[in-house]
Amino acid sequence: MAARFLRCLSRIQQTASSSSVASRSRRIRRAAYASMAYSAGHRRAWSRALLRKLRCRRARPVFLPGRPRIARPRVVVEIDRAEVLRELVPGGAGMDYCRLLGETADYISLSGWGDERRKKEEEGSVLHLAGLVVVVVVGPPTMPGMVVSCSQRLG
Amino acid sequence: MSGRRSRSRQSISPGITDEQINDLMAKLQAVLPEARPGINHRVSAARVLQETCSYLRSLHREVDDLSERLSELLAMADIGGAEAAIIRSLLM
Repeated sequence: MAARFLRCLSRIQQTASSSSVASRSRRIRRAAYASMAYSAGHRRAWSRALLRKLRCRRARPVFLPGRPRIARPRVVVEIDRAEVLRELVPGGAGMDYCRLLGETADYISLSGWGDERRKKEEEGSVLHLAGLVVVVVVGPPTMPGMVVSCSQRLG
Repeated sequence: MSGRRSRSRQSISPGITDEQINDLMAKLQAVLPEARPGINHRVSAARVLQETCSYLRSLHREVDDLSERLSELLAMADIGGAEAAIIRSLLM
């Protein structure tokens, strides 16, 4: 995952003089999710869903996690949290409850800060990776919390 | 968790036991930020789902923020061979 992400960053940087901060930011975000998805490959429903979204280039922007959406007014009688979770996890719609729980745990382990499982496979999560790039490029202690968590993860 | 069924359980196939659900819940709880190894919290399923949702939202926001940060940095600094090598050696 790290190698792919770094390659993407390098390519994106080559266009730095001719691109805007916003468009680079979108491409970096896309590269981050792509790295995650390619790392998990076809083994997981969430990664397959992400790969489908990434490969399907349409005229309108591809919806990736985190893009702001227009909130639809809802009359909330009862909040079904599993439904909310289905919207947050790629490929979640249509998953049964058990599948959803398993996919979510795997998705979080590859994207978040708690990486007990990934430690064994000697791979960081995407946030660790992005944070590490920032730290190495800028030099500590720009983001102290991140340095601490990165060194905890490595140490 | 009692035998009470919530709405979110309706999509489960009949063969799944409560124990399997509990096991999945525990695995999910273990990757959440407040997880402390060795302490077995009895947290409700609703609470785990709620924390998971808010954690996922914050993760997505962090990816957005870091992407913006990196975008600004890429214009100013160079991820040349040296930096890439450092990152690789730290991670791989």
